[in-house]
Amino acid sequence: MKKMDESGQIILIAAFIIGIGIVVLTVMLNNIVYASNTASESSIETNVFDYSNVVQTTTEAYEKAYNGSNYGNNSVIFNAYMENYSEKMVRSYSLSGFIFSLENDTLQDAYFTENGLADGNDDWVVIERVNSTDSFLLDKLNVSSLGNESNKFVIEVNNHSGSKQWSASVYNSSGTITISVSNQTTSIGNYTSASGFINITENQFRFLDNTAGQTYTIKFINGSHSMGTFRIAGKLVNGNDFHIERVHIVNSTMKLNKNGHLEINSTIPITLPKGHI
Amino acid sequence: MIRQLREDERAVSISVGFILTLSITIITMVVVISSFYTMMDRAEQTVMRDEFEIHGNDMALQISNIDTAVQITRNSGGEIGSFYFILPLPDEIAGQQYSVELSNQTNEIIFESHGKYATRVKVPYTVHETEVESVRLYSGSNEFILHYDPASNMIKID
Repeated sequence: MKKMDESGQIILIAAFIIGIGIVVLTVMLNNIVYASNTASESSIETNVFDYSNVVQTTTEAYEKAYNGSNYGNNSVIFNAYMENYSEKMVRSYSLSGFIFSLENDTLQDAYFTENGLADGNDDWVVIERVNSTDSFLLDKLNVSSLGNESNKFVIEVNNHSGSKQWSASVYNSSGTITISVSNQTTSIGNYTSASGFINITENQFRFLDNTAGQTYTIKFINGSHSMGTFRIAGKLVNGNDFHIERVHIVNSTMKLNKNGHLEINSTIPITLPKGHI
Repeated sequence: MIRQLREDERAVSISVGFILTLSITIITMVVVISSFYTMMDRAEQTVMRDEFEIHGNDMALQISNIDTAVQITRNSGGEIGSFYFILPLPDEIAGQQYSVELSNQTNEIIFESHGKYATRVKVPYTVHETEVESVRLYSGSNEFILHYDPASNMIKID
């Protein structure tokens, strides 16, 4: 009889062990379900930085190719440089899983719009916080594409509070390039340019007198009504030099593809020889 | 008298004892199993919400990436021709299908499974240059493609 009672205790212990086993198995199963559903393919990618780098390096490559090929006149050197750049980019980006491709375009004459294209932003700020201008040239003004007096291309200089300090309107007056200059209150004069070249800092336009001692912004207004080249150089308020020059633009199409699940395709007009400070 | 009762086994029935033991065992088993099921169900919803948050954050990041790429391109005076990203969203999460909703009213990505509030996860996104098209999609049909439409300046998901 006593022996039978001890057997009952063993059954009780066995029941406890089986119970604990069930709990352990359930917890394990739960963990397996959890783990198998954790996002194994979470794709937190910073592809936008790669894209930004591509835009920046491609712009700089075009600038170097342009300057190294006598302002694009030697197309063999220009194209060879860009082909070489494209090959090197394909190789270096392939290491991080990107397929890079660049479609080269021919050099185009530019409008005075923000991106240089006819449909670009008409009214735009060329440079801000200028302290002094050493050189401000317009060249190759095309009389046939220049707007008449009602569609004139305007260069405006505003001080930091936004009031006009100096402005010049360039327009086609019966086949002649006419420049009408004024300061904040009065008209300075009307001039003509037979060659399509205008040196804004010349004394007759009184650009330097009217902007001396000011912090100013140079704006182009109605840029799509005129084609030509420009160059502005000088000093900013912070003491740094600036230099912006546009002779040509090139419409560059670049493509980035990563593992087939990401693709960026964009077309960017690049100002040559130097579109940024 | 007491001794007589202690030794009196006339009211003891083996059948009744067996039925009582069986009933108690069944009730105990049912209670234990159902509590395990409830625990598993809660764990499933927790898993879903965690998963939804991971995928939602991934989508929000990609939306921001597209928006930033558009901004970079516009600052350079150019235009994005196309930008697409195939989202690696699974057909099922924790064995259940789910829906993804993009809302440009609240600027949120809303994940939900079978309309259960307990599984709903809202992840906010931010855009500056573009708009996001409001849409509701269901898992399991096709792959989800996040893309930019230059004509309407909208980020869409198909």
